[in-house]
Amino acid sequence: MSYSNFFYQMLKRDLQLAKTQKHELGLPVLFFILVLILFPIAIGPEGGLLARLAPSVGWIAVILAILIALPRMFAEDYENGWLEQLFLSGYPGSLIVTARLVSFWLLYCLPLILSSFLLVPFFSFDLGLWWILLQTLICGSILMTCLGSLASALLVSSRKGSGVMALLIVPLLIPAVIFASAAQEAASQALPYTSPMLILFALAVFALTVAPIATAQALRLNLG
Amino acid sequence: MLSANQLTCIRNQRILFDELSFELESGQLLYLTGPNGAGKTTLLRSLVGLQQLQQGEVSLNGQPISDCGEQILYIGHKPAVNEWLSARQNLAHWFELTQQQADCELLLQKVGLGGLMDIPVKFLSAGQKRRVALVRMWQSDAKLWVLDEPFTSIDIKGVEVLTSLFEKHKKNGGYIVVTSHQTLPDELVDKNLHLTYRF
Repeated sequence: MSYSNFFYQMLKRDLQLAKTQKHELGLPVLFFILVLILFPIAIGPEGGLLARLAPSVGWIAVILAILIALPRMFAEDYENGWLEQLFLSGYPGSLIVTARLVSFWLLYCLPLILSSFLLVPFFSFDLGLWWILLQTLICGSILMTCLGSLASALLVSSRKGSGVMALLIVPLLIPAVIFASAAQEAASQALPYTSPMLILFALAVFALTVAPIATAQALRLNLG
Repeated sequence: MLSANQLTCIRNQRILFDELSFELESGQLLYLTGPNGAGKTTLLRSLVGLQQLQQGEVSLNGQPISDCGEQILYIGHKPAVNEWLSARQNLAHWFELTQQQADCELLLQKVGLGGLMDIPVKFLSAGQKRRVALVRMWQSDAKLWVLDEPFTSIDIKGVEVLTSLFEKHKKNGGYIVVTSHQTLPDELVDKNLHLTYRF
């Protein structure tokens, strides 16, 4: 089987599995939407303040929502032994990981990013600014998926993974949060925001290049 | 020829086995025995290259085992069966992974899962789950079979079927390494290896 076909089969299996576990899939999105609903209620109907807070609330809620989903990235396949069969099959480990990264991003991150549109009605957030937030969230969620895959692979054999995972990932995400808010700030004052956006994009590309190799190695360590 | 050369494994500051060497000719079955905790599973995993060893190497027909992925069928304690997918889906994914063409329906009927192939494996009994994993042996291109306790939760009739599969695989010139707490028929076993529990 060619690599592309293998990649496609991996994705197909992940999507098939997702269909059987809809409740797991919905939990992060539900959490995210609840934050977006509760926040304006708690702050009060002050349009200007809410609009100013909207991008940061969106970012924080996305980070926390992804953190809920991350421990599950490799856990099930590790427990039931499918992961060792994948590594025995002779396909490159980084290909296996990349397929999982893509399916994770599609299944968990994409719905979150899209539902950030709710910021527009709930926070009276400007539609043009939301468009920029969307771009920063796409880069940020890719970065987070990659960092998360490494942490998730390192912790896959330990049962108390989730707490440690937050400690591992969140500090590494801080640069992304800073550049995202810089881009947002600049855009809200109608200044050019290209440079923080490009740095964010570079971070995502770098993570996407390195993470599959590192994650595959971490998984191998945990299997042996 | 499957040859293990000077295998040494230390886990949790305990030597499981050291400088263990053996060879297995084509068409032979190695029966691995030993008490719980002696390192049987670890030895099997190191034979297929999943376990990192302190020392030693395994080769199949002169090639290091890490390059022989497609020639190995490893069925371990973990069945590699997803509980939420049906038996048919699980098997289909397996054949996609191993690049084989097979009639999943027919195979599952053969192992007595005829009416159960479309419900999630979660709802099957332990023995039936085990069958979903073991059905891979019916249609396997792999030369080397490494089986960790294949008879667990399998009924008497199932054990007979499995032993007949072993015979067939041996006739075809395959290699089998198997552990079991049940005794295998003497005519099936070509080599015995006993691991002792070491402190």
